[in-house]
Amino acid sequence: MLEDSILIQKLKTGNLSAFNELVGLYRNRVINTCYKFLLDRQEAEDISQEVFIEVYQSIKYFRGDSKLSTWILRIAVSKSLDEIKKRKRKKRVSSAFKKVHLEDLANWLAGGTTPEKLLSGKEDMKEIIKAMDTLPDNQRIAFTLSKVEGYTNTEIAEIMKTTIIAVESLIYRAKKELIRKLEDILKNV
Amino acid sequence: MNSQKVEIEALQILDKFEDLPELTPSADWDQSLMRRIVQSKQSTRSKVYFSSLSILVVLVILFNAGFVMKTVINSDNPTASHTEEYQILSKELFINPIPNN
Repeated sequence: MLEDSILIQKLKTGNLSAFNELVGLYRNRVINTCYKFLLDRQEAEDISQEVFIEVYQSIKYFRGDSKLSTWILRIAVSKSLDEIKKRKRKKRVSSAFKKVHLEDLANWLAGGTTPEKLLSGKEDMKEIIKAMDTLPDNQRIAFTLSKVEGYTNTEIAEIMKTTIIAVESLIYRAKKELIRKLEDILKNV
Repeated sequence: MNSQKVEIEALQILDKFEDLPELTPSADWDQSLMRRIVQSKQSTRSKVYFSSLSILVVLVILFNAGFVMKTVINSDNPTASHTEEYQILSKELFINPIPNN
């Protein structure tokens, strides 16, 4: 495995095998980060690809002020938030969760969960999305990242360019607010 | 729904979110990414091509305009009078410049 500095140098020359190595290193983390924000598999896959395209195009401007991983994950967070904003603008939130993906159907045909159950599961996600949408961006980022496997509060603080204490406070406030919002939503059902 | 039940349900929804399983990329994710990278390279190239072409067109237009302006300003020929212009035109069109009354 190449060291970050060597990898960056190779990437800056447009070396495709270095890029493939970078994708291999960060693919799962980027996809899961996008997924926790977007809660939609297809969107998460699409946006994670956009993240790597951005990395490929912008690596020449990377000055090394932060770690390579922090820089990539920052792009992932910002792209996911942009997508959420686009989604809000298009008012697609409700329809986005009515989709049953081909993979889900294949799973059902193979004797797995029925599409109805999958849909009802996504309905729960719809509630959390509604609640999440009311959070300020910094609370949303801190809370969501804390729920993606592999993120430490130190790393979240680096991504958000803030302190660990601030991150802890943001996560605490976000959780409290989410419970309150979910209760409001459930009471109105 | 009583408040305790609502609270439990809210916590359950939150737990569901927290326990979402790890996503593994679909089989064609890598290939699709490479296709998009190639496409983005091509679109960057065509953007560069079109912007250079636009700059070239603007420069040609400016050069022509400058040339025309320079010719007009430095022209030594005084502007012909309307009568002279009519006479030249009438000669070219083979018509009588003086109206027949």
